[in-house]
Amino acid sequence: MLRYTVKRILQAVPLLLLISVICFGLMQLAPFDAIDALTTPDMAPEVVEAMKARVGLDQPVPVQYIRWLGRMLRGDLGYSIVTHLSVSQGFFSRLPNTVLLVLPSYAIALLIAIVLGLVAGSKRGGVADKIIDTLCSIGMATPTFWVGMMLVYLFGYKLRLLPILGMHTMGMDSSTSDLIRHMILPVTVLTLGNLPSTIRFVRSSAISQYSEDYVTVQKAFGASRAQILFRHVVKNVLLPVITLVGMSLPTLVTGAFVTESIFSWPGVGTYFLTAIQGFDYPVVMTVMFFSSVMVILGNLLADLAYALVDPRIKSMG
Amino acid sequence: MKRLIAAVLALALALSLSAVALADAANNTFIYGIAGDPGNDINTISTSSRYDLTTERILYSPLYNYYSADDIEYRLAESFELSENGQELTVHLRQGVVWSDGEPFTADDVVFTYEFIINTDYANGHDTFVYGDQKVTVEKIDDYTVKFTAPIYTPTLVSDLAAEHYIMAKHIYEGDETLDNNSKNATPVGTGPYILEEYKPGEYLRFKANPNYFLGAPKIENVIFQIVTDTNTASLAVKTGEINALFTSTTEASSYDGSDVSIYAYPEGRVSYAVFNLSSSRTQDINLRKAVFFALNREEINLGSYGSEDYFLNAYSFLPAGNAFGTEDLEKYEQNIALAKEYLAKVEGDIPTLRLAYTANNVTQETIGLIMQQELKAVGINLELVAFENNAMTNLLYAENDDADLYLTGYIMGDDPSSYSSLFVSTGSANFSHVADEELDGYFAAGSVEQDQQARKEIYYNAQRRLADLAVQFPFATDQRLLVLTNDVAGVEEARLIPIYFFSNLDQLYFK
Repeated sequence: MLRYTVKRILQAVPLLLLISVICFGLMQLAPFDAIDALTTPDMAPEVVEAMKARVGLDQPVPVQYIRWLGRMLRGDLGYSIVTHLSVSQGFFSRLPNTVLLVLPSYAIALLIAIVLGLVAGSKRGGVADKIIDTLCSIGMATPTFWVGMMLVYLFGYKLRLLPILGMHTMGMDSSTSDLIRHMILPVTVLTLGNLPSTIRFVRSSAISQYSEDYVTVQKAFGASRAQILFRHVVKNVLLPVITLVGMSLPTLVTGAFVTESIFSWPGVGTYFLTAIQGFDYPVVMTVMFFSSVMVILGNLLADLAYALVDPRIKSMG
Repeated sequence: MKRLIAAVLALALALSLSAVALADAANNTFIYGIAGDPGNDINTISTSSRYDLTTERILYSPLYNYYSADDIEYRLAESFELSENGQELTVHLRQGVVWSDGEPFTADDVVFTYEFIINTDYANGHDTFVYGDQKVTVEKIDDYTVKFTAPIYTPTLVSDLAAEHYIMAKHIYEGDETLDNNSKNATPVGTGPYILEEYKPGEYLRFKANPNYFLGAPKIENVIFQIVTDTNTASLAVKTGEINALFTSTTEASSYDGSDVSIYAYPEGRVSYAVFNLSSSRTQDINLRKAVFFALNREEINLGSYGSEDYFLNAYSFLPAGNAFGTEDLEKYEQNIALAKEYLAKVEGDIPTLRLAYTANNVTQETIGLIMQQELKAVGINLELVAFENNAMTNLLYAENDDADLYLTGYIMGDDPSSYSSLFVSTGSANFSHVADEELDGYFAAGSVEQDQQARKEIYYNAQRRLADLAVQFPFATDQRLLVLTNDVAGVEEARLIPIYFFSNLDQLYFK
């Protein structure tokens, strides 16, 4: 297992380096550079040149790349061209806010999806399957922003039950119950958005498991439907779900663009959208870089988790 | 099951209690929804866009608020005298004022601020103090008296000194090379009614009342500028009272009917317009620019974007409708499809696809853009719409670039036509179109020093005609601004709604 883990980590390193080269290359192609965020039009050219020299922008590109990578690893991500604020401060102050939305919504969606997916897949073509499938189709065809606006209108405006803006009521930043009240609507929107595809994934996995020989054997031994489902099928259905969870890791960074925008939630999504609208390259590149890192990390973790629970993978590795 | 029900009930109770607590907290807090993040780089020199200036106004104080010659509110100044030749202004300062860090305010701060503005090219309003090679000078007479001297007669010296200029603390910034991108801006020290307590990027700016404010502590203790990213949600939030104030578009005004809010419509003298970016390689051909202007239908655009004739007046020149120096005796570019096609036929080479930049989340601009897109399509011009975040749009307007060919924007420059020079003279600090025309420059130079009113009018009539002939700016309308305010807020009249900002004296607002 250790050998397999080391091997997979070593495989991920060149990929990460490749992504960093692409991100750095794209930044080099942009019409502005980091120093533009720190200079003003009346500064003398020699002052600007001195500032460039101070941060190493007068060096050859490969040297700049090595230094940039070093700074990235130390958490220094440069400055926003639009707000002139530190990108690492902007990004890392928003990241927990996004995780706070995405993680619970994804966990809730996964739990509901496993139950409904198993119910639907256990009797393909049955009434429950048809109802769940129809709801999934409706869910997939409904845009997130529409669901968000409907919930805002109903629970925020008509019923006045829940707040609709931001993370906190002003002056109540330390109140957990206030935070939960603000989280309910956006988490619900994200959960509803994640549910249909996850249910369908579990359902198709369950259907394929039901056609396996071990199910037929269990049936022949007289095992009940519930026994087959919970003692045998669930374990095997959950295996592909590990991949799904791993692949969903990037959503912790970029999974809530629309929802954050609707609720003015100060997360990475609104940060990224604002940066795109403002051609704020350092911010866009940072979010893209971390999103890509999460893809690789997700894959890596999924592979490792798979190897942990499925002995066949270890022997192949 | 019982445990589950008990847990749900406990959670509901906790949430209800927190709702009650937040209602209590809200009583002392005024929340203003803003559609852009002012950042934490607010300073009294380079700050120029709407929300940045609004933030600046509650942190810092001006010498006086100038509404008209007969309507002046003194702030850091107690009085002033203008010399007979109109070139010298002696200002007597208020004594006993302290900065928010406890240091005393003196004439040194005023001299330091205005010298910085007068000598710094990127300073907001810098142009109004420069006359060719000569500049307005400022000198300290004593600790509480300063004298401004203009090199030549200027009819606007008194108003120019108050236009978007606030006094900064010399003891904080002395010796600093730049005020823009200065780390001290994150912890502002001012003499305004409020003090910045906390800035959360992308979330809010929280202010608390300045107990040492020289006009007395503000009536509302806390003010929040909440950054809103979705106009629909923000609109519902003001209806529920989650925020207290929000600017809305005229097309959305009727959606507030039946809500516990009031809408205050007030004129800003704002000209809404489209302008060509002449630093773009695709906009150099005047035939193309004229083809675009003749393809547009001003009335259709204004009705479509403002919803009702109650909310706008058609504008035909760079001056707001109704301005004493305005003329309609110029090329108005009334829609003429045949003429548009005629000009289009004269364009050399392929007709380029034009990119129109506008501010994201601005419903009015988005509507104008969509109507323009359809009208231009009818004559064979493709228009691509690109929304930019508020700060990015400001950056784009100031930069020479090839990213956009046309901008949708607006300005509020006041009554005197000389103040519009920064937008249209070749060296103007806000020359967004990058127009460079000697004849136009000459009109603005002559108009700023002409003492005879009739001759001055003629000069500015010519300037308006010249700009129209260059086919650079297409003015749409002089529009009204609509503020939605929850009905529990009072003191609107005393606080005064003014152009660009929202309230002139936010400290005068209070909760009923």
